[in-house]
Amino acid sequence: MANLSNEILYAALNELSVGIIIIDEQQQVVFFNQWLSDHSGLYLTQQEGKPLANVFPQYLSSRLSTACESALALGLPARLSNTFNPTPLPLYKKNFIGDDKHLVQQQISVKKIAIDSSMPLCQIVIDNVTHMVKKEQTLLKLADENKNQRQKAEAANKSKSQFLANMSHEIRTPINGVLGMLTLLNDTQLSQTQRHFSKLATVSAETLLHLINDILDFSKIEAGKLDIENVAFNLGDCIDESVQTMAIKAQMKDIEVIVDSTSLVNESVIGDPSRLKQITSNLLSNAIKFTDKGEICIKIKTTEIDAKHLKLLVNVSDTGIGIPQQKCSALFDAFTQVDASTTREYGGTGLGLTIVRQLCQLMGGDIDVKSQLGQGSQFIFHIVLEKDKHITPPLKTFNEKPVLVVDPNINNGEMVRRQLQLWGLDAELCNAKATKKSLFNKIENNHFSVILVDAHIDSFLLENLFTSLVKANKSPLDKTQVILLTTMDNDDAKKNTLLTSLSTKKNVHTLTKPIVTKSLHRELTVTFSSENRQAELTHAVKRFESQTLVENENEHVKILLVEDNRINQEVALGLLRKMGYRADVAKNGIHALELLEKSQLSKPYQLVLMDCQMPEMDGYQATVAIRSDDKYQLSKQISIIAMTANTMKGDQEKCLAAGMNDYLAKPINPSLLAEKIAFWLAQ
Amino acid sequence: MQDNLTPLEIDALTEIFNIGIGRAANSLNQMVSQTVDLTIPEIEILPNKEAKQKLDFNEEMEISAVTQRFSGDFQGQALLMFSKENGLQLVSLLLGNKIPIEDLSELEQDSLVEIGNVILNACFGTVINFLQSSISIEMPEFIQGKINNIFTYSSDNDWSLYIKVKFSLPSQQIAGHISFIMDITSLEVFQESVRKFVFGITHKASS
Repeated sequence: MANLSNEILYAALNELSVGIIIIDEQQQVVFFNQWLSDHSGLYLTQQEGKPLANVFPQYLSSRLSTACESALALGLPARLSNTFNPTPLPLYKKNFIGDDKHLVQQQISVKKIAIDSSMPLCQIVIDNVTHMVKKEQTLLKLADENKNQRQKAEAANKSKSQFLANMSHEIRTPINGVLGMLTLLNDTQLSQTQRHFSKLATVSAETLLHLINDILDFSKIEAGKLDIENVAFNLGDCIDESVQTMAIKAQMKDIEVIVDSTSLVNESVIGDPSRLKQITSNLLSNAIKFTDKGEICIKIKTTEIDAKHLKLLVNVSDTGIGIPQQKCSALFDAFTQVDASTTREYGGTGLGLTIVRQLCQLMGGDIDVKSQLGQGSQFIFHIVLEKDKHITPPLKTFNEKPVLVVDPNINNGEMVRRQLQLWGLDAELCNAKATKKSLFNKIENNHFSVILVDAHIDSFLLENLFTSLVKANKSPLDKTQVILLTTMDNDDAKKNTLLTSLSTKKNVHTLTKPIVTKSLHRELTVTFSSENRQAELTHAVKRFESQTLVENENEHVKILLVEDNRINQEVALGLLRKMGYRADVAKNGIHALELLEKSQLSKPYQLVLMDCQMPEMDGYQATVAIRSDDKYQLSKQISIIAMTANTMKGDQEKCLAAGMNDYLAKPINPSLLAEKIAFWLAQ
Repeated sequence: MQDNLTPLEIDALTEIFNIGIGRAANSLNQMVSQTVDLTIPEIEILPNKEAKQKLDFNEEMEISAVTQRFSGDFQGQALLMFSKENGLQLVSLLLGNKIPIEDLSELEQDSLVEIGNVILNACFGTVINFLQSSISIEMPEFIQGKINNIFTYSSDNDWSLYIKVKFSLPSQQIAGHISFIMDITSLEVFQESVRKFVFGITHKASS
């Protein structure tokens, strides 16, 4: 320390790369270093002894001067951050003195210098943080830009999906027109060639509608507009329905469809049945599309998650062409099929599985695939459902009775056997192929109360089976009942004659495949008591009679059709004509109200078919007027059925809220239209 | 400790610290565009261990703190602490940031140090002005970490003058905690000066 002269200290202070100012109690400059000279353009020799406020006018009553005052008076040190005080002193980048664009960004510390002997001094240390400020500003700008870009991209994607949704919706309207006209065209006198062309046109239009529906769904999901419903429904029925609608296609290709719901515990659930159907139908249609021989098996299972929720697990497996393992993961991406050539051979949008996965995820689950080329595929999906408080009672069990199942398909036979055992029946399975002899022996030596036989076994075997039965049933009272399991589609004429002759026998019943739990149970119940069967037959006849009666009366019914689109008018009128109804047409809501008012005095309308979107006055407004305006007093209670291409969720509620009684989605399904008209006319 | 401060003495202490903190609020209002109001709802003298528990920070929480050491008539460490979230909130509110920040940048850390410095200085100023104590104070520093990192330089045998600070901004209220941590000897000196001060004013009032 002894060697440390003032000269050395001065030199060291001047070499520092921070600014240092020392002031005395009167805030007069005692010292500032070279750095400060460099950045202020001032020289110590000229400024020494001057009050700091004279050197830097900005200093006067600034936060810096307050800080210096408390440092001098109370010894309180202070830190002046750059964010709150960017440039307290006029300091500039070297060589740019006086240029406000090159002000030095500062960070300042103020501290009393504690030396016992002398008067108190205060030291101001200035850090140059210009670089740091620049760096942080750049980072901030980058982060901002990044965020903006992301928001832009999201918005663009959303508006794209919105556009797709809107457009698909618009496209549906003309396709509905095309389909409707084709339906009418097919009912006219057509030559063979014309009929062929018209059929091809129908298929194309249906495919187009299907594609548009897929795109609509897909874009709705993308745009976050697809809502999942929460209604109570029966799980088993829901799956059975979707299987049955798809099964005809499978049976046309001679593929067995097996539904195994033996592990289904809770049937009453709350969820979205139509979306669940959409998933299973989609998977089934894929399975059928890609399978040429063998079987498709649907296994359903529920497990409890907690007191309120269930997990539904569905496994759809096929014996089709399979998928190469490395392609499995890309399967659920939009617009992918396994390869371009497959697309050509098998068709489809490539959106189906994407929609399926998104639907599963929307319902709290997911989907997975297991497959190998040539080994068939397995699609396994699960969703979360709520338990319904109202529990459907389980199907009644039967008293233990011996039942024989004869089915060449082991899987199907096994499933039926397990189901029968669940209902308390003593069921035995016999593989029809391998053991003819033992089969006949078995039948002759046992008293089976019911035999379930697949009608697909060869005719010889079938005939022999009945012969053995005759041998076994020694007394006529003790007759074994036979249930023939038939397919919906049967083009084998010879077999058909045999089946027809068999089914006229009193102890023979038929059950259409695929076997679903409910119908199997119903058939067994009927089989166990032949009286029931009789009753059902008479009931069916009665129903038929009443139906024909109504059709003759149709001509006197007055219907008002409110529809602005010419083509749709034609379609609806054509359909109504086919059912034997006549209808007047109103081209918008105002026109409809006029007609209604006029007709009140003579012969009022009994039913209104109401389009929703129309110019001048739409269907909702017209309905509200009919229900509330006294002018239409006599028509106030008239049944109004909405017909609209709007199939978004909530449309139905909107129609009902406006006061309409029912709702039909376009394209109009002729049988549904007939059903609804008949129902509302009967009210 | 035999000689705890009486409730009257604690009241007086709270009163003078509120005057000091009011000055800090003035300085803050000059610095930032927001109006900030500062109040001290409670002051307590208690063992450091209990003071630590009072902070309602659990062991895993990230804490942002500004600290200044002091020496002289009594010595120790002053801490102003926020939960990390509250610290971030305070800085972004005072800086008028629209977008919430996830982490303090170096410059923003420095602004929290300045805020802390203003507040702690106000407390020190109070002690020096009213209690006539002679202490010298070090530059403020920033610490971020779990509660044990914050209290590295104090022991459970120390005592704490615990002050709760409420920042009232137009849109929000944010709580901060101040702890003056001293050893027992320093605390006794401190309490003695408080007693003298209170005696001084009651004596003046009665005479």
